[in-house]
This record gives sequence, structure tokens and C-alpha cells, in this order.
Amino acid sequence: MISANPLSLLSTWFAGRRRNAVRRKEAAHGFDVGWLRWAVSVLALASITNLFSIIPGVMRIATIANGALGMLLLCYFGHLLLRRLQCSLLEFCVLIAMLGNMLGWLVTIPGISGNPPALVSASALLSAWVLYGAVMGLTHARLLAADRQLARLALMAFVWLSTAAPVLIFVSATIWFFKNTGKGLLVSPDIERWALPFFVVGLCGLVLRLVMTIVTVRSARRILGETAASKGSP
Amino acid sequence: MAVAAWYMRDLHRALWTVLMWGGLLLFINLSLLRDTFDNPSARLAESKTAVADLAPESIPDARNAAVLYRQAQAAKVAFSGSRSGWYTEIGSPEFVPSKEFQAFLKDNGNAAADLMAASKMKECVWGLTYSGGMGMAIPHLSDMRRSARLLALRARVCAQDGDHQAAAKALAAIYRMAQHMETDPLLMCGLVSVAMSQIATSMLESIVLWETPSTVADLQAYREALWLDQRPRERLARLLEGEKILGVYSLDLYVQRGITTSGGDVNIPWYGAERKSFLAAMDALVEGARSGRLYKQQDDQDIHELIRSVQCGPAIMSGLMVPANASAAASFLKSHDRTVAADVGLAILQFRLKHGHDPKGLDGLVTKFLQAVPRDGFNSQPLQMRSDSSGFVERGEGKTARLKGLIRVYGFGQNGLDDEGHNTWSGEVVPNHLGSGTDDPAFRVPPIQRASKRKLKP
Repeated sequence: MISANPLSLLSTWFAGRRRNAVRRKEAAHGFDVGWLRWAVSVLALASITNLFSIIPGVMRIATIANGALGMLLLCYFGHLLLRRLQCSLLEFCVLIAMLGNMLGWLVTIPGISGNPPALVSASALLSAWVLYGAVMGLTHARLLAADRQLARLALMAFVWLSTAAPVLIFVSATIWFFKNTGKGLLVSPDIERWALPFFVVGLCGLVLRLVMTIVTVRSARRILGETAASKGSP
Repeated sequence: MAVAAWYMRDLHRALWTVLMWGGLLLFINLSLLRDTFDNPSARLAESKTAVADLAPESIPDARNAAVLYRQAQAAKVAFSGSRSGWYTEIGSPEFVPSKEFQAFLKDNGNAAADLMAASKMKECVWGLTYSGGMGMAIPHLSDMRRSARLLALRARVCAQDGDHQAAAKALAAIYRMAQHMETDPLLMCGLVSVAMSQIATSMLESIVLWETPSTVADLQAYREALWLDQRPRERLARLLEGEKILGVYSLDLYVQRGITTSGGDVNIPWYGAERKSFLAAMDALVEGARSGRLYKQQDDQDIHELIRSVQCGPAIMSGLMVPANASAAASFLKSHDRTVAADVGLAILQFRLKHGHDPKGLDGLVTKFLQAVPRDGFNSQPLQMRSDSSGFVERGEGKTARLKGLIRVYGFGQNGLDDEGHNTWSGEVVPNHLGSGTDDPAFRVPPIQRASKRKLKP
């Protein structure tokens, strides 16, 4: 009979995780452009400072960062979509339509040009959301071996929804809070009507996120051959 | 396999997810406020023009009463007595002008003369700087209220000396000064005008109660001194309109200043919603003033529902300013009703002098002493007259009832109920059976046994 030492089990588990991490790093080497990824992250952090600062120097830097961020987003995600994930024409058209509609909706808000920081930051982050959703959706499709066009498009939509779900639930909770705690002057009756739809859609998105994550992670680990290794069996 | 490996590595996705959440939050908020978004620069130009139109046209100094008022203010000497709030005593039944009061009146003789002369002038332009928005200085407000108290003291002292004609002239000057206050269509000026009018009416009531005039001529002089044609609804609508224009200009100005200070890059996204909500709520108040719909000051729910019905986004400015503006509305009607009640009270005294007894009702005054029984401003109900056998008890003065059998002339007030001529602001103890919401604007007339028994004089 072998006695199970908790400490040794834990160290075995950590060792297994380290091995997996190294193997994943080697397997994914060159899949995306590492320096581009870092540049996107740094520029994203720099560009959002324009929402919080009125110091002209900082805002100028943020404006430049916003422009560069837009370009790099296109480069980074474009590389993944077109070169690595073989995005089809239909998926590309859907992506462009989604991007165009979201940005069009944003720039046609009357008077938005009077608030350049909000416009620029929202544009960049919205574009990131659309492109990220497309990339992750096609990634899920590859991992789940979803070959049909509709399935791939659906997975893209699911990622868009699941990424936005926490925000929808947060907005719904905030509206509900203001409505029911005597702070009704902060939200109008028209805005209050959105509380329930946002909550329902957000909840659906969270459930989808959970299901998709479980299914996709299982599939990825099977592909990587990590299933037995992660249980730490000799 | 590369795809699976890349997917399983986090690689900044947590950071990106948080940033995307921020972007989506911003996007959703902007979308919810989509229909209300507005441009402060364009709106500022419009509101600046509207504010410039509010300012009265300047007039030569020779015709401008404000010049004399400022001269009077410069000539005033402060009250030298040890008590602060000396003006709270001058209406009391036990008031006797001490040496301090006499010195105060004497030292301010020139100032009082200037005030009386200025009040007779037709035009008064204060020269306010409207471009400052709601932050503009209105220095003459407190000066004019103090001037009203000075003339009220003068009226009381003259009445105690038996010179009711001079007392009536002083009270008439206060009413005219109150009208000069409203040259600028600002609610604050209107409220001070109401306060000055109330100072005069309260002093008249004190004179009627404690130094009751005993000649028809004196009573007539007091009646002619009253500002009866107050037209509270028209005045209120005008002042609320001015307040609306000034308020929205101030909002545009402060938002635009924020933009300019920040180098042109900061704008409040909910500015448009605030502006629209405020304009709509104020328009409702103006319309209410014109049509007779008063939002109840005691019932915040009423105002809250008004704001909720017109808001199209955050309405913080409306929540702060509209209730105060709405509650100010009732003051105008209260002042009007009290002044009209004063006129009826004086008519009762004239009836008493002629017939030797009080009228049975206000209808008995019609034709000879009144053209018609006046109606109150709140509910358009006829004024009431009631003999109060229990008199009144002053707050803080124990339980001694004064003037048992006095007559109360009153309207039903904002609550529309017959509170028997009682209210919560006159300094009387309200009878227990009436509760805390009593609000009848009233004028008290002493009982018949206190009236002078001297014969009628032409």
C-alpha cells in the first residue's frame, strides 16, 4: 500500500503543470507574433489613459498610442485570422460587417465628435473585441473540429456574446440598483427598461462561456496529450 | 497542435478581457445616452444669446432708482444695539423703541429718505452681469431686505406715535421696493421681493393688532399702500423662465469651461441628457405656474414624478434645482393671498367704524368696501373670515392667549384645507387638532372691543 503524501502530490501536480507549460510554449512557438502581442498590450494600456487624464502631454501620448494600437490590432489579429486560422471569405465578410456596424453605430452618435477621448478609446477597444471574438471563435472551431460554416460563424458569435456577458450583467445590476435604491434620477425610465434584457442576454452569455470553456479546454488537452499527464499518474 | 497550445496559454488575454470590458461598458453607456448626446459649444452660443436677452436695458442714472438705493445703502448706519436680529422684536406687542432704536432711526434718516424717494421712481435697473451665469453676484439682495426692515421699523414707530399716514407711506415704499427687485427675471430676486412684501404685510398686521388705526382715512391710506395687483402666476412664470435660461446657460458654460481647461478633450457624455431633462422639467414648472398647477412642496414625490416623467438620462441637475424652484413657487401665492387678506382685514375695520359691529361674512363688505370677495391664488376659492374665540398663543411665550375673539381672514393655502386661518410660519402655536400641515395665509384683525371708540372721521 502506498501512502499518499499531500506535499508530494502537490509537488507532482506543480511539476506536471510546469512540464505542460513548457511543452505548450514549444508547441505554440511562432503561432502568433510575440513582440506584436506585447506591443498591443502596452499600447492598449497607454491609450486608455486619455479617459482619465486632462494633462495635455499625457493626452497627446494617449492619442498617438490609440492610432498605433488600431494599426497593431489589425496586424496582430489579421495575422492570426488569415495566416494561422485560415479565415474563410464568409467569416471575413461577417467580421467586417460586425466591425463596420459597431464602429458605425459609435461614430454616428450625435455629438460624439465633441468627446474625442471617448470616441477614440471606444473605437479601439470595440475593434479589439470584434477581432478577438473572431479569432477566439475560429480557434474554438478548430479545436472542436467544427467544419461547417454556420457552426464556425456561431462560435464567433458565442465568443462575442460571452466576452460581453459580464459587462451586460454589470450594467443591468447598476440600473437595477439605481432604480430600486432611491437614486432614480441617475437613470431614466427608458434606460431602466434595458435592465432585464441585458440581464437575460448576459446570463446566457455566461452560461455559454462556461460550457464553451469546459468543452474547448478538454478538447485542447486531448490534442496536446495532457490528459493523463495532468492527473499525475506515474 | 499549435492552435491547442496557443489556446491553452493565457498570453495577456486576461488583461485584454478587462480592457475590452471597459470599452464595452463605455460603448453601452454611450449607446444608452445616444439620443441625448449634445455639443456644448454650439449650445453655449445659443444660451449666451438667450441670457443676454434677459438683461434689462440700461437707463440713464437720473431715471434709475438703483442709484438712489445704492446711495441709501452707503448712507446707512448699522444698528448699535447689543442684540443681533433686532428686527425680530419690532413686530411684537411689547415693542417700545428704546434709545438704541431711536438712535438707529435718527442715524438712518437720510438713508430712509433716499429709500422713500427711490421707491417712487418708475424704473430700476441693477446692472447685473449675466455672463457669469448662476455664479453672478447679486449684492443688492440683502441690502434691500435690510432696507425693508428699516422702513418697517419706521412704520411701527410712526404708528405708535399716532402718525398712521407716515406709517402707511413707509409700508407703501417697501411694497414698491419689492417690485423694483423683480426688474431682473431671476427667481432669487423674486424670492427677496416676496420676503420684502411679507415684511411689510407682517408689520401692517402688527400695527393693526396693537396700534389699531381708528380713522377711515388712516385705514384707507393703509389699503392704498398695499401691493394688491401682485399677479403672482405671471410673475412666477416670468421668473421661472429666467431661472431656466440662466440655469441652462450655467450648465453650458461650466461644461464648456471644463472642455477649454482640459485642452479641448474632455466632455461629459451625459451633458445632453442633463440639459434636456432640466429644460423639460423647468418648462413643466413654467407651464404649471401659468395654468395653476403647483407642484406640492410638502410632497417630494410630486416633484420626483415630474422629473422622472421628463428625464432622458441622468438628471442630477434637475434633482438639485427643480425641487427648490418648485417650492419657491408657493411663496409667491402665499404672499399674494396674505396681502389680499390684509386688504379685506382693513375693509372689515372700515365696516366696523361705520356700523359699530363686524360684518357677518365677507359678503357684507361687498360693494361699499370691496368690489367682490377676493379669491385665493392657490385654489381660486373665496377668502374666509372667522372669529377666533380662543385668540392666539405666541410660540415660546407660555400659554397666555391674546386677543380672544380676533378675526382671521385667510385662504385655504396650498393644501386646500380649511385650517381655520392657522399656519406654521406666523409664530403662533397651532391648535393640536389641526396637525402639522397647516398652511393658511392669514391676516389677523383685533376683536371689536380693542377698536377705538372714537367716532368716524372723514
